[in-house]
Amino acid sequence: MKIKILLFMSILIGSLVSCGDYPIDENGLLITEKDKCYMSSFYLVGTDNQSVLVKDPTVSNGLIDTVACTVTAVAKFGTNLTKVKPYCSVTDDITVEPGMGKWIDFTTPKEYTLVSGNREIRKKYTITVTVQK
Amino acid sequence: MSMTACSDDDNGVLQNDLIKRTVSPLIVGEKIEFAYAAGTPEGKLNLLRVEASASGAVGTNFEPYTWHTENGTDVSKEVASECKTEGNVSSAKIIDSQATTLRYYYVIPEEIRGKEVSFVFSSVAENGEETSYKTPSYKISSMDMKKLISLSGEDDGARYFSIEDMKAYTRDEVSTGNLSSKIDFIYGYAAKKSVNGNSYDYKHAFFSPSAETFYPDGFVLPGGLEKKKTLMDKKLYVWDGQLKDDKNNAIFVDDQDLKSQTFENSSDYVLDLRAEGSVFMKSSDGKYVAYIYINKLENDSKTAVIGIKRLSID
Repeated sequence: MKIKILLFMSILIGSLVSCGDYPIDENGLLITEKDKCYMSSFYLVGTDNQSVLVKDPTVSNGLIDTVACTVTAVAKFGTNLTKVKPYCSVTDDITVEPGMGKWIDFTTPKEYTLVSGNREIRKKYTITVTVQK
Repeated sequence: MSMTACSDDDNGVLQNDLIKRTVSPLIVGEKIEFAYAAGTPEGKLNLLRVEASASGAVGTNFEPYTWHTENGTDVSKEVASECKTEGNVSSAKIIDSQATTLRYYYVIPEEIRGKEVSFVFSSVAENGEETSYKTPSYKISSMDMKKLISLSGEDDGARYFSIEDMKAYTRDEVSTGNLSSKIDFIYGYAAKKSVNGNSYDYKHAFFSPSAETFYPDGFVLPGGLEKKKTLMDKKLYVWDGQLKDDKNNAIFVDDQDLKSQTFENSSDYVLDLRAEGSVFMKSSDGKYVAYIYINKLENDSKTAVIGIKRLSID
């Protein structure tokens, strides 16, 4: 039991020390050493919090182009694109500006800027969603 | 169930206690159920009584039985007689018992819609001793509710829905009843819809008369039907225990839920409805906000069963 307590305390102190090495930005988020900056997948939900997309864009299915920084998505017939909520998956420590997870009108392409963990790399992604017609 | 702890007399031998069994929104026409218990170690009980701050509707009364469970089965025993309600007072004469629990049902009258109601329960022993229990005030909902409404997606089926009437009409009823200005949405079912040579999922749907692009294939709006634009937001996992008719579901849509809906950028149709899903709606005249719960969907028969909670926001 004592050994477990000592081990826990060591890990706790270690993590505190390591956190203390990184500065914090204006949003209270750590500024790390990570310089990767790309979006790996994109999601879009309707008012029922269910996906409205025919296929979620990812890097692997080619619907996310990390060089051109574009995302191409097709929403199912009947989707009300004026009221959808976007989410995305990104690599470690990246922030997204403006924040996603809010109701938005996606009838025209939208731009989101990804900022790397070290805050030195910024990439502007253009996301285009069309509806099946 | 909720405890209400306001006994006026804890010092005598005659004791009483109260449980408010109803936890759902208190809607006009529905019942508030209480379990009122009284007992004395000396002598017998004579009378149980309740005085409501406002007279209940027809059906308000004590139940003359007490209930217990034997091997998982609820068993009743008659312990009261002369259960009656006169005005705002209900009473029950206790039969040969030192202690018992009776259920009291208060049917919420129209007169107290949006207001409050409170109760004073009291018990009297044969030796004349009396004790009482005062409840807090309970807020009555301003909503209306109707459960288990059948819809049919056939041409001559009951598919033309009026939020004001909380009822589905057939095409003939709309015509003969001059209801063309009352229809807020239409129910339809089709496995697919053809669009520009493509075939897309349609399934069970609600569409406003204004949503022409999203009529099912072959549907023709009845002549003269006002093209109302009813705003709709489809939901999943937003249940209501009253419309779901599930006593084990303590999640309810209440007045505040309906008042807080904004309908900004909402569509005038919803496709691919799911059983146990729901839709929030706002009528085109802005008079009503409604919550539609989908109890059941049948593809083969093109039918649906829904329930509605409706709030006037005039």
